[in-house]
Amino acid sequence: MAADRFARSKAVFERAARVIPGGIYGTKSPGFLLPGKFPYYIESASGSRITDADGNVFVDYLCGFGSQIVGYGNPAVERAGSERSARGDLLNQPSPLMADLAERLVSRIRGMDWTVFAKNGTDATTLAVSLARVHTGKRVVIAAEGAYHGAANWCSSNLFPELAPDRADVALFRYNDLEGLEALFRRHRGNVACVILTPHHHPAFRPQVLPDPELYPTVRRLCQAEDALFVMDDIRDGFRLHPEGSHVRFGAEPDLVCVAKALANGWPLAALLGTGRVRSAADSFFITGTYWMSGAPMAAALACLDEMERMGGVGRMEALGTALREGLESAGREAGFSARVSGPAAIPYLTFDEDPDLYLNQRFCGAMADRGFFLHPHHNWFVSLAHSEADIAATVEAAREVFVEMSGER
Amino acid sequence: MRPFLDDLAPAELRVLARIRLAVTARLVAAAAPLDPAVRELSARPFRLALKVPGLPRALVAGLDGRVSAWAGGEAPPLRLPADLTLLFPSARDCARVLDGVPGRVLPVPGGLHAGRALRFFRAAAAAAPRILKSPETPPAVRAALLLEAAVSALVETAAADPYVAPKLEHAPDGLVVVDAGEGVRRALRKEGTRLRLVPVPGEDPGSAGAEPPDGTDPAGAGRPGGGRAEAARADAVRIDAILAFRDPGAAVAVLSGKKSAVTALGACEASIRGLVPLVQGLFAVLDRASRYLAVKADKEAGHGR
Ligand SMILES: Cc1ncc(COP(=O)(O)O)c(C=O)c1O
Repeated sequence: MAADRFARSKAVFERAARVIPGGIYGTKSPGFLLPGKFPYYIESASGSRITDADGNVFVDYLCGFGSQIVGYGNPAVERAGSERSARGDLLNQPSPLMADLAERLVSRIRGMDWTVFAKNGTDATTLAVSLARVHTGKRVVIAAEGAYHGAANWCSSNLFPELAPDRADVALFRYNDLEGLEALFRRHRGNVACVILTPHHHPAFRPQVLPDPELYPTVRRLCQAEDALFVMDDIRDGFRLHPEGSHVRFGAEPDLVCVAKALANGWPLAALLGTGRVRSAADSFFITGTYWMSGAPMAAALACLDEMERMGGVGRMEALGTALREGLESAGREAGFSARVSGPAAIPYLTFDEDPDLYLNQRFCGAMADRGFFLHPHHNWFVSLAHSEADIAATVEAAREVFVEMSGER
Repeated sequence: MRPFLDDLAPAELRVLARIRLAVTARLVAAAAPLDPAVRELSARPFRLALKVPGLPRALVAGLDGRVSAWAGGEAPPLRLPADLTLLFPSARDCARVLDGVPGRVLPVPGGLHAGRALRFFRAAAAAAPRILKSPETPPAVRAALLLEAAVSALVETAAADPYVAPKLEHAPDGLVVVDAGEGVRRALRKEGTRLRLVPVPGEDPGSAGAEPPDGTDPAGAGRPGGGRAEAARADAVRIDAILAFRDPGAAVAVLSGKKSAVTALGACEASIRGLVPLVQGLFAVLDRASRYLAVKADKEAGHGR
């Protein structure tokens, strides 16, 4: 029998499971991937490659759940972050860099007039919802079913009845169901604080959905009539769909925009941006966290914004993602599968029309992992500026082999 | 949930009683062929009901030497009166007695074979835990009994406990096969907040195992042959997800609560194929059901922490 290529991952996991609930919890839990096919622990990474705890190397399309946009260990970003860190990262007061970054973001993200910083995406979405409530004096938050806005009780999948009060004023509609959305506004008339949406819909375990052309105009009209705010949760899509914010790509006009992940290429940083009309709510709100103003991630973010542009920005990721999509879909078709890549080009996800239960996904992604390509079977993928044309070609070539193998099993 | 029976809210007590009724009925039926004395006692027909006022009764019937069980409002094909009803005056009594500590139970005869039904129940109710505990019991047998108990606890918890409703509602609908290895399998259909025991699709004596429609081997055990034939049969009833344990020992560890499902998945002692969120929905119910089954009947009897 071949040696287990994940022996060390599994050994560490066994130790971990004794002292850590679930061993590894949340979205990084082995059960979200395919245990036995994917590593549990990553030792190092560079560019588009990750090396796991057993020394297996993968071309990575999860990109630290989207946070890697200019490549793991991007020298310019690492240099900026490390230099700032060497001079002091977490200090009593923020470094002057905070103002630099705020100016940079406000001038870059279209329509936004101010920004505050935090660490996790959840910090930004939760703060956005709180500010919307305070600004409007209303409670109800409208969101899309299956959307992910973080791990706070108001929006997480921890559906324990004890936590129900935290979700009590969150009303859900089916993404792109405009009538459903209108109905929610009617039902909660006079009580809607905000609508929160991701630029496109990226539920786990399901194909991604692009916004109906009428979605954002409808949101705008309903929010205006209700005097509610519109929050764009651009945490996952941010910087991959449009350089000035994903809302620009879809013609949406949010009052608040949340970014994190790619903002600092994996250095811990989130930001909430807002329009002038919400400014006084933000001025009056107690916003803080011990680590929220640490300097190194801000330095990294400034460098990351430069690197994104230098490396070709959104246009390059679009081109790479399009090549990947076209390659995968045609290789699938040639082998007789209805393999479909959904979502924007730079944030692809492959599913099989004939298999809503994802058996084929799991088979495909498992076999791709065997060949050294990290394609998550249950979560959308990410293209980064560190991927090369050769990476994409190699991925498509491996996929072709896998599809042929799979078609032989039918 | 509070750890002691006397601390449970009335609604929780009723859920617990429902779970105990179903688990007991199914366990005694499953244990019947495994113990020579019980097998002997079930050779001739009888019908036994377990009843708590206000809760759906559980039934155990011996017919043609086979013992079957129904619970949670399921009814046998023929609606005949029971030879004997074991009537628990309250949910609390039911939970106590069926956990093996003193409580009130009234035997109410209703047919010719009341004595036979009672003898069967006494012997089978003693045999089931003995078989489960005995080191001589092969892991596949232990796994089969535990799986029987687990699926009935899942069905009853989903039906009776509003606590799990949000989680179940959140999970997609579909049919799950739980494969404990060595041919031990059960299937559940989830619809809304309900779970139902259903026949394992394509199950026939000697079938190789539950397979997803694409023919990939769910347990990774490389069983030869079965995939394509199974796929053809599964077309009729689609299996949406398969929770497969590496072997009966791994199934026993999880189903007895010694190991968490997520840890077993990480250790590759269990795998999920297909619609993962459907199985995650079941895990949430299993977690809750295990809490009920861990409730101690008696503070004084040296139970407790
Ligand atoms: C769209 C979206 N919003 C919010 C979050 C939460 O971000 P974090 O995990 O950093 O709290 C995520 C994370 O995946 C996300 O994708």
